Amino acid sequence: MNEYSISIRSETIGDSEVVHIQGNLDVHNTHHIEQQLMEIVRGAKTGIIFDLGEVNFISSAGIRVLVTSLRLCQDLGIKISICSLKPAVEKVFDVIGINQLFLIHPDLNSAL
Amino acid sequence: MFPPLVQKSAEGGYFVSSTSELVELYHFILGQAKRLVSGKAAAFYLKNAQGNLTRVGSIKDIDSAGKIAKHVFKSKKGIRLKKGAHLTPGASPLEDSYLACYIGEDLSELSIGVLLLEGINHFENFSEQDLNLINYFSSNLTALFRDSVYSDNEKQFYSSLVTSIFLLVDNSNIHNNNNRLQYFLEEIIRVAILINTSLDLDKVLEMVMVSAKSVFRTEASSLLLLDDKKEFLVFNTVTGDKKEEVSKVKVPIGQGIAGTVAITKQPMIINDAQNDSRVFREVDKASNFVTRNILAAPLIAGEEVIGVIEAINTIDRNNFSQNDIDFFLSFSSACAVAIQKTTLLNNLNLANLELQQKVETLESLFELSQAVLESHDELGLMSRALSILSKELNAADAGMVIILEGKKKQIQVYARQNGIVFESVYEMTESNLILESIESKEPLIGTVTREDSDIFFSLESFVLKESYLVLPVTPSGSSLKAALYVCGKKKKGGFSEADLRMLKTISSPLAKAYENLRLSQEIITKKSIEKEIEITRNIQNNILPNALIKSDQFDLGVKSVAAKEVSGDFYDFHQYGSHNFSFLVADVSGKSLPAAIFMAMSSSIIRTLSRTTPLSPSELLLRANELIYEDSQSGMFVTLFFANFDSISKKIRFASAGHNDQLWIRNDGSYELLKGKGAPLGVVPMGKYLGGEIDMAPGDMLVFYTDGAIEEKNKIEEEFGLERLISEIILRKHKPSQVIIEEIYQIIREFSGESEQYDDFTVMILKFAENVTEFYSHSFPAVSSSIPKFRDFLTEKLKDKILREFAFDDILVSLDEAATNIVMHGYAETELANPMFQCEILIDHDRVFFTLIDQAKRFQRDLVPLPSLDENLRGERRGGFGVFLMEKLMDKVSYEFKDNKNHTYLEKRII
Repeated sequence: MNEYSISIRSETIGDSEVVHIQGNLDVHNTHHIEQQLMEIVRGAKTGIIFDLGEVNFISSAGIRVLVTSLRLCQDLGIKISICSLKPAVEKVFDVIGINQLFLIHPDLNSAL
Repeated sequence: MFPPLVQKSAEGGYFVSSTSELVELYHFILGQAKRLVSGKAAAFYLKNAQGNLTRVGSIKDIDSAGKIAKHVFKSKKGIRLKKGAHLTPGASPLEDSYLACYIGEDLSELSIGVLLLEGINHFENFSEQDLNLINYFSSNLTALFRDSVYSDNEKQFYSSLVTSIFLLVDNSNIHNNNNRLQYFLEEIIRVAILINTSLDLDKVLEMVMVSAKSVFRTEASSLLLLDDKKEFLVFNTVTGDKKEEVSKVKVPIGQGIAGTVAITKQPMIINDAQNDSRVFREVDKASNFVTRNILAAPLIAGEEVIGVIEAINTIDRNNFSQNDIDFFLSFSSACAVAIQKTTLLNNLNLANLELQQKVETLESLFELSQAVLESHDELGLMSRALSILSKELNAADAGMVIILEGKKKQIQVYARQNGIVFESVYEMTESNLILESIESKEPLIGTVTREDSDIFFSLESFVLKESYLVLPVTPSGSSLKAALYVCGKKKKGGFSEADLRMLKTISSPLAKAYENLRLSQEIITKKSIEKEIEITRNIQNNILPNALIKSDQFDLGVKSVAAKEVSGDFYDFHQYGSHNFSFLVADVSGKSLPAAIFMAMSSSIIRTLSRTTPLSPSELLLRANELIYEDSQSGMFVTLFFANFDSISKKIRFASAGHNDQLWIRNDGSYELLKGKGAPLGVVPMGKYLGGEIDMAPGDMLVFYTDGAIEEKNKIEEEFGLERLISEIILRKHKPSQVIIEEIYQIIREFSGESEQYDDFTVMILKFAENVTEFYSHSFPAVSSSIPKFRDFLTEKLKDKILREFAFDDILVSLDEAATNIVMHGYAETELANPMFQCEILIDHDRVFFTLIDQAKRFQRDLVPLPSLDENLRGERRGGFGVFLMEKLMDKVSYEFKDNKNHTYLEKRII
C-alpha cells in the first residue's frame, strides 16, 4: 500500500535540471521525498528548476524543504528557480515572504 | 408747193390736215397702234383749224375717252389708266384700261393731238411697257407728221407716208423687243428675289406664272405637278380666264404635250395645236377653250421631273419661237427651284418640329430628374412630376395609381386636379378599368362617353375626365404595380399613340424615382429608429447599476430583458451607510427615446432622494412624485416599487406607486404579497403612497418584478401568471438568486413558445442568508500520515459552504499547520500508546469555528520564536513558519490548556 500521494520526476533541459513535483507538499509527503530531492539538487550542474504546476497544497513543511534546497544551491553555486505556482501555493509563499528569495516564473518556458 | 401735213392756224397754233385720204391713213396708223399693244380700240384726237380736238377712230366709252384725251393734250404727258379707275371722284369706274399719249413736241409750240387706246385683249390692263411703246410710237409719229408735206395729187406721197408708217411700226416693234428683253430680265430678277424671300410656295408659283404670261404675252399659263404616284400631272397654278375649269383636269403621264414633256424632260413648242394629235383635248373640252399654240418646259429638281409649265396662245404673234424656249426654261427652273426650296424648307420645318418635340421631351425628362432630386417625399415628387406630365402631354390633369401590397390590398392615388395633387386611398373594389389595365399590362386610350360614365367605378369616375390615356407601370425586377394616367387632352381627338410613346418615355424614370424615394424613406426611417434605439439603450445602460451588491446579509440577483431593443423597465439598488440598502423596480409607460429620457429623469430623482435624504419609502415616493410630475410634460408616468433594508434591524420598509404587488417568500415556503397603495409617479400632482414594514428572517426571499414576468402568454392565450411564478421560485429557493432568475426566465420563454418577448422582463431577487449551524467532530491518530486524511475531512465538510475567496485554502493550510504542530512537536516525546488529536467544526452562518484538542505537552505560544528566513538560509534553524502561517491566515487563533488538554481555537469568516 502506497500511503504517499506524491511523486517527483526530474529531467535535464539544456543546462537546467527540471524537477516536476506532483502532489501536496505537506509534512507527511515532504519527509518522504526530501532525501531524493536533495540528491537531485546535488546532482544538478548549473541550475535547477522546481516545477510546482501540480502542487495544490503546501504547508510550512514544504516551504522548509524549498528553503533547504535554496541553501544547498547557494552552497553549490547553482542557480535555482521555481515555476508554475498555483494561487493557493503562491499565497503561502507570499505570506511567509519566500517569493523574494526565489526566482519565480509563471511557467516552465519562462523559467528556462 | 404742197401744204404740209401740219399747218399753222390763223391764231398761230398748229393743226393737221384731214382730207378723206388722210383720214384713211389715220385709221391705218390706229390699226398699227392697236396691233402694237393688243388694244381693243384706238382713236386719234387731232387739233383742227379752229383749235378743237376732233376724234378719228371708234371708241366704246366716248365720253371718258374724250376727257382723257383732253387731259393728255393739256398736260402733254402720256398716261395709263387701269380698268375700274375713276376719272373724277364720284364718276363711274372705267370699263377698260386706257393708254393716251400726246402727239406734239414738249419744247416747241408743235401740238397736234392725242393717240388713245381703249382696252387690251387677254389682259386686264395695259402695262407700263405698253405705255412706253405707245409713247415711243407717238413721238416718232409727231416727227413724221411734222416733216411730212401733204399733196393731193402726189400718189407717191401717200405710199411713201405708208412706208414711213410701216418703218415706224417696225421701229416700234424693235424698240419693244428690246424693252421686252429688258422686261424679261427684270422679271427673272424679280422672280429670283421672290423665290428667295417668300415662303408661300403657292403665291410664288402664281406670281411666277403671271410673270411668264406677261413676259411671253400669252393668253394663259399653267404649272402642272406630278402626283405622288407619278401617274398624272395635276394643275397646280393656272393663270388666264379658264382658271377654275382647268384646275380640275388631270393629264396622264405620256399623254398630251405636258405628259410628253414630263417623260422626255425636253421643252416643246406646238404652234398648230388644233391639228396636232399630241395635244390633250380634255383640257380644252373641260374649259371650253381653244388652244392655238403651246410652249411647254419640264420642271426638273435634281434629275427628277416634278412637273411641267406651259404658256398657251401667243397674243401679239402667231407662233412661239425657238428663242422663247430659252427664256421659258429660265422660268421653269425658277419654279423648280422655288418648289425644291419650299419642299426642303418644309422638310426642314418637319425635322425641326420633330427635333423640337424631342427637345421638349428631353426638357421634360430633365425637369423630372430635377424634381426627383429635389423631392423629399412621394407627394412632393408627384406634385412636380404630374405637372410635368400634364404639360408635356397637353393634358388637363394627370395622376398615378399604385397598388399597395400588404395585409389588406389598397389603391393609393395621386391625382392632379386643377393643378393640385391630391393623395387618396381607394379600396380594391372601387376600380375596374385601371386595375384591369395594371393586371393585364395593357394601356388604355379613350374618350369618356355617356355609357362609360355608367360603367366607371368610383376611381375611374374620379380620375378619367373627357379623354384619357392609362399606362400600366410595372418595372421589371420591381414589385411596383402602378399606372400613370393623363386626362383631358387639350386637342381634338383625344390622346394618340404618340402621346402613349411619350408617356412611356417619362414613365420609367418616374417609376424608378418613386420606388427609390420609397426605399430611401424606409431606410431613413429604419436608420433613425436604429439610432434612437442605440441612444435609448445607452441611456438605459447608464441608468442601470453595473455591479451587484455583495453582502453577507443577502444574496442579490437581477435580470432585465427588453421585449424589443429598448426596455421600459428599470431597476436600482444601492447601499448607503454600513447597514442600509435600497432596492427598486419600475416600469415606464411608453417606449423608445422619450420614455428612456423620462426613465433617466425619474431614476435620477429617486436615486438622489434615496441617497441624500433619510425619507421613508412612502415619503420618498411622495417627494419623487412631486418632482417627476413637474417634469412630466408628455403625460408619461412610471410605476415603481421601492424598498429599504436595514441589516441591523433586519426590517424591510416598502412603498408602491401603482406597481404590482411584490413577493415575500418565507424560508418555510409560505409567501405573502407586499401590497402598496398610490398612483404611478407623474400622474397626479400630490400623491399619497402607502406601503408597509416587514421583518426579514434568515432564508426569506423578496421577489421584485414587473408585469412582463407574469403576463407572458402561451399559444392558447393563457398567462404565465403570478401563481406559476411563485411556485417556480419556491421550487428553486435553495439555489442562488441569480440562478433562480435565469431559470425562471428560461421557463417563461419556453412557456410562451415565441422567439420574441411580449413585454419587458425584470426580476430582482433578494435572498437572505439562512441561519445555518452545523457541527462535526472527528479524532485522528497523531501520526504524520493522518495529516492528509485530516485535510480530506476538512474538505468534505467545508468545501461547498465556503464562498469567500481563498478562505478554504487558508483554512486548509492553517489546520494542517496546527495538526502538524500537534503531531510532530506536541507528541514528539509522548509516552501515550495511542496519541490522538480531535477536531471539532462549527459552521455558524457566515463563520466557521475550529477546535483542535490534543493531550500532548502544554503548548506555550509565547515560547515560539518569530519566523526567520535568514536563520533558515543560514542553516541555523529548520522551519518555524507553522504558527506564523496559521495565525496569519485565520481571522482569529487562540490557545487554551484546560482539563490537561491543549485547545486550539481557530475562526474564519467564510461568506
